[in-house]
This record gives sequence, structure tokens and C-alpha cells, in this order.
Amino acid sequence: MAQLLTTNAMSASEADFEALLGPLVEPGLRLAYSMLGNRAEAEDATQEAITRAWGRLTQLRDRALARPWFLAIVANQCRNVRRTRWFSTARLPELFQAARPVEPASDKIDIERAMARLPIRDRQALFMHFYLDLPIDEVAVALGVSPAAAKARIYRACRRLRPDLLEEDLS
Amino acid sequence: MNKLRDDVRAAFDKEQAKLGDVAGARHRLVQNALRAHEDAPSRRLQWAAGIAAVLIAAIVITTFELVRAGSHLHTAPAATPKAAVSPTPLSKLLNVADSTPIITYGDPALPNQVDAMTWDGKTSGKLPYQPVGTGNPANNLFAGQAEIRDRSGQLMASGTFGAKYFSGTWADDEMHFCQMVPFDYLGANGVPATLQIVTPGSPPRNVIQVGNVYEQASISVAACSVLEDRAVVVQSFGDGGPAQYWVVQLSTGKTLWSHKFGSSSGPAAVVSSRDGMYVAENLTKPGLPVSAAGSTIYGPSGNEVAHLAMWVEAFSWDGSLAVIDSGFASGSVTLTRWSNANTVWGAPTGYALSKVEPEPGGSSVAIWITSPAQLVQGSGPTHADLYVITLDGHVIAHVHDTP
Repeated sequence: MAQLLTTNAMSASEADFEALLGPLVEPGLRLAYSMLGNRAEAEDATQEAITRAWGRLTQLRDRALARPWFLAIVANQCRNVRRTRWFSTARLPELFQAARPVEPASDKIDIERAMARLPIRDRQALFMHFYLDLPIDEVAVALGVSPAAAKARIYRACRRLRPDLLEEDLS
Repeated sequence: MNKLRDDVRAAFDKEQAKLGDVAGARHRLVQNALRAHEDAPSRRLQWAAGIAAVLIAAIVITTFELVRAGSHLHTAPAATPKAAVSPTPLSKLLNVADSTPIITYGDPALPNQVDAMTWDGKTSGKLPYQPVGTGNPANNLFAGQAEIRDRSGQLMASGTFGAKYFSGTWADDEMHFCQMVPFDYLGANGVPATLQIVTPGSPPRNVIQVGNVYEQASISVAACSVLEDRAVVVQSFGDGGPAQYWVVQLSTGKTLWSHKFGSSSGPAAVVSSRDGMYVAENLTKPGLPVSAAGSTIYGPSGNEVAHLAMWVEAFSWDGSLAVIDSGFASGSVTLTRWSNANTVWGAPTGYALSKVEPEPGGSSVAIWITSPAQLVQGSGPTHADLYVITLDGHVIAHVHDTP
């Protein structure tokens, strides 16, 4: 059952904060790495997200939603990084280049290439749902959209990867 | 669905494996973040001071620009604009994200101004920096012999990228390029050439030693594809005709396939799709009529996949469409789906091809053609009409710039 967060940034101890956020650092760092493709930048973005989370702790009303809430902050921070000039002109193509195949024929290589071409928000949704195993409701919170929109986004991404997929397959 | 889920997970697993060990990151990042938060008040003060400085600078610059603009109010108006996309000369700066691919073109009314439009034809404007050199497919980096700048003119990398000019071929990932070294050789017999892949700002990586650099004959990279892991290198005879070409794998340096020609029996030109998956050999026979021209297209493994009666001058990004013409100056430029010879767009009669750019990652093609009058003039600055054409032959933009 959801527990109301009674502490806030002013009164919560750092130990409480670390207990709350600590388990979320790794998924946050992995999400950042997936979006930025560089460990140092991913760590910087995650650290900045933690700082922001500490400052916005009062906005978190439900501890059960700490994970999507924190991942949303990480994703926002990564989007800010991606908007910088050098990243947009030089790093994005490097990040999203498809894996180099030895023989470009297998299904897996096709999937990797198709994933590399997905819009970043679709890719982000796939990462959270398929890799971090977030349920659709949490993906929706992290993306700031409705569960239906989150599901549609994942479905759309899957359709791009496998055009013959049916929507029922997602449920 | 489970298969897809497994494949997606496997792809993310592969990606995340490069992240390395993250066990120690948890405590460190939380502690660093909390310390950063404690420092925030002083940072906020620094920010406030910085913002104040920027505001003051902005006021000074704006005042200066207003004064300067006032002093130019009586400048003679430019020539009547001819562009169909938007009135020219374009005075507003292009306002799109740096990562948005654009088409650059000379302003028809102002010869020294470079304009640009997005590939949907909806946004256009002049570039803040008049780029010098060769743009990457998205036209967000421009390479010269010694430096690479972005759209705003900001220096992104410096080095030696050619003997006199940028001699590389931008890769389809927008940030690498392929080049042949040495750039130049003044001896009689030539020296072995090496294909390199370059990340600006980092040392080049040798891919394969292939062909030779001669004083009077060229060796060049017709395609450089990081996305498809291949490049096409063309060695030419002294008269410019292809002597041999190699399709190589960038990651391993392995030659996937190659064709070699005699000095009198080879094609007149070799044209590759951007990813090296399709290569067209344009044929002609000296002294015979135009009808003797033709083009043979080879597929990813070097297998013959099509033969056309005309020349292939360029391919669309995915290689499915080809810009074809007779191989001579006059007429008959078309955009054709080469697999079934279906023409999706034809240029006005008598116009000749000037330049082609495929939409990066898309299906449209930008085609510049010169008018018969321009061809007759034969001198002066080169003017060409720009057409942006979609996969189905719809013209989404046309910039008129020919007499």
C-alpha cells in the first residue's frame, strides 16, 4: 500500500534520502547511459538528477511512485544535455549508430538497427518497459503521459521493430 | 511478442554492457549530489551574477545592432526574388535545431548568401555563418582543409583534412568521414594508398591499404557508411575513367567485392549509394550515340541487380530511387525507381543535372538542374533550380534560380 511521504527535503535525513533513492540510482544511471551513450555524461546527469530530486522531495507524495518520479527527473536531465550544441551536432549520430554487423543478415542485427532509428522518447519507453521492467503505469508516470499513451508509444515502437505485431500482443 | 521482448532486451543488454560496473556508483553519486546541493546557494549567486552580465551584454549588443541597422536603411534593395519557396533574399536566420538536417543553397538574389531549408520545405532562412567546405549529409558540420565548423561557424575540430581542400567523404552517421592517404604524391610511379576512417579530433584509424596515389590519377571514396559498415573506394585512370573499385568493410578492412577494368573497356563513371550497398557502372562507347549509354547496378554482394538504358547519377538515401539522365549535358533528368524503371518525377525538358543530395535517413531527394539558357551561356556563376522531391514524385519545394 502506498505510504504517504511525511518527510520533506528540509526534515528528511540524508540517510533516509539515500535509503529511498539509493536503489534507484542504478536504473537511473542505466537510463541516462541509454540516452546519452557515454558513462561520464550519464553519471553527471544522474548526479544532477539526484540533486534535483533532493530539492523536490516535497513533490513526491507517494513513495510507491518514487521510481518513475526519479526516472522522469533523470530523463529530463538527459534531454537537457542532449539539447546542448556539441551533443546535438556531434554526439547524437554516434550514439544512435546501429551496431556494426559482421554479417548484416540476422534478426537481432535488424532489431538493433531498427532500435537505433527509433525516436528517443519511443526508445526511452521501450527501455523502461522491456529493460527496467517498469509496468505500463510507471512508464506513464516517468514519461508524463497517460497509461494509454504510454502503451501506445510502446506499441508504436514495437511496430517499428516488427511491423506484423498486433496490439493485443502487448497486453 | 516474447521473442521481440527477448530481442529488445538482448539489444539493451549489449548496449548496457559497455557501461561497465555500476556497483560503486550508487553511494558516490548520492553523496556527490548532496554535496552539490549544499553548494547550491553559492552557485545560485554565481548564476545570478552570470545572468546579470549576459543581460548587460545583450543590451549593449542590441543597442549597437539597432544603431548599425539604422545606418543601413538606405541600402539599395536586392534584385527581385525568384525563389518559389519563400521570397528572397532571405533575411531571417534559419531557426531549427542543430540536429535537424537541412538543404543549403545559394540565395538566388544574393550570390554570396547561403540559405537553407528543412527537408519538409516548411522552414527556411539564411545561415548565420556562410559555410566553407563540404557539409555532412545533415549539413550541420562543414569541413575544410584544416578545420570543421558547425552551422553557426563555431570551430568543432581542426587538423589536416586534405592537401588543399577537404578530401574526405562524410559518413552517413554525420560525424565520421573516410579519407585516402597520403593526400598527394608527386612521384611518377605512385605510392600505396590507405583508406582511413576519421573521427574529428581523434587520430584516424587505418582501414585497409588499397590502390595507389598517383600524381596524375585520383583515388577517392565514393561512399562511406558507418551505419552499414562499408565503404567504396574508386581508383581512376589519368583520364578520370575508373580503373578499379573496391567495396570494403570498415570494421575489418575486408574487401567484400571489387571490379577492375582495362583502360579502354571500363565504364565512364562509378556511382555508389551512400551506404555502398548499390554501385552503378555507367557505360558509354566513344563515337556512338547517346542510346549506347547505359548503367549496370550491382547489389550488396556484387551481384548484378539491374541494367538501365540511361546513366545513374545518384541514389536516394535507401538506394531505391536513382537520379538518371543520358550522361550528357542535355535533358531527360528523371527520378526513377530503378527496380521497375518507374519514373516518379521528370525535370523540365532540356534541363541538365547539376547536383543531387539525398535526404539523410529519409526518402526525399534534392535535385539541382540548370536551364538550357544557362547551358548555352556556359560561363559565369553556376545557377541551378532546386527541386525537393518526395518518394512518390511530389515536389515539396522549388527554388528558381536559372535564367
